[in-house]
Amino acid sequence: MIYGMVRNEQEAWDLAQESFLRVWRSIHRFNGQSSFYTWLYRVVTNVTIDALRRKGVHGEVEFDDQIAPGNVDPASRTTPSAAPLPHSKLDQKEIRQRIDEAIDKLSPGQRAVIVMKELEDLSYNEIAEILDCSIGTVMSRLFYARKKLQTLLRDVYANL
Amino acid sequence: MQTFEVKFTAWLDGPLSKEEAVAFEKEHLSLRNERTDLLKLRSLLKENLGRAELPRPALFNVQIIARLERAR
Repeated sequence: MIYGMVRNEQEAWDLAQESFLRVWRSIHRFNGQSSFYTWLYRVVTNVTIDALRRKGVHGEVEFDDQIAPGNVDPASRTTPSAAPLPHSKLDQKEIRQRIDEAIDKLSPGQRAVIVMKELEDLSYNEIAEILDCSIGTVMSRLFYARKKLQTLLRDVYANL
Repeated sequence: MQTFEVKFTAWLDGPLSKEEAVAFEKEHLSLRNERTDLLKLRSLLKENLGRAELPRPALFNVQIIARLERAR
């Protein structure tokens, strides 16, 4: 999950270690109100989001769920992808690179919901509990994160 | 009242009832292609977001234990 958010293997393992340490130090604060699994996820997510913020990752303002108006046409094409048009199929390395670049453009909060939903397959409820926010916020962040990724990656998935 | 973003996400991911989904699609006729498009995106992400294996698990464990010892 951490790798999904930071897109750098070494950094992901460092943050995994940091998360283990954080869990070890704060295990006495686990009070059983949520499942241990949810609590663990919350610690790992907080460590990762903190690290992204320290690096100055805020995401780009387009489709920012904090500032966007309430009504958006879902079929709007927004801005066209800046990526070159594909002339041939991308290889796996290029696909990964394009995904890394696209994830880089998401805010830490958007990365968290995308990874938890698309990779970990968690429910809205679980994600809301981990991030300590409402289900509506989770769904709204998912909407804007997917819209941004759709714009950035359309030429990649259209050719697979 | 649910915002459009929330309803759209529920429509894409499945929690909307059949009736709600039909009403939503009627209200937004341009959505049909959008679903196919976004499902392709979801599939791409599912296949490529994660990284499978820890290259040196023993080293990872040793490092964690060392850090825990230092933190004591």
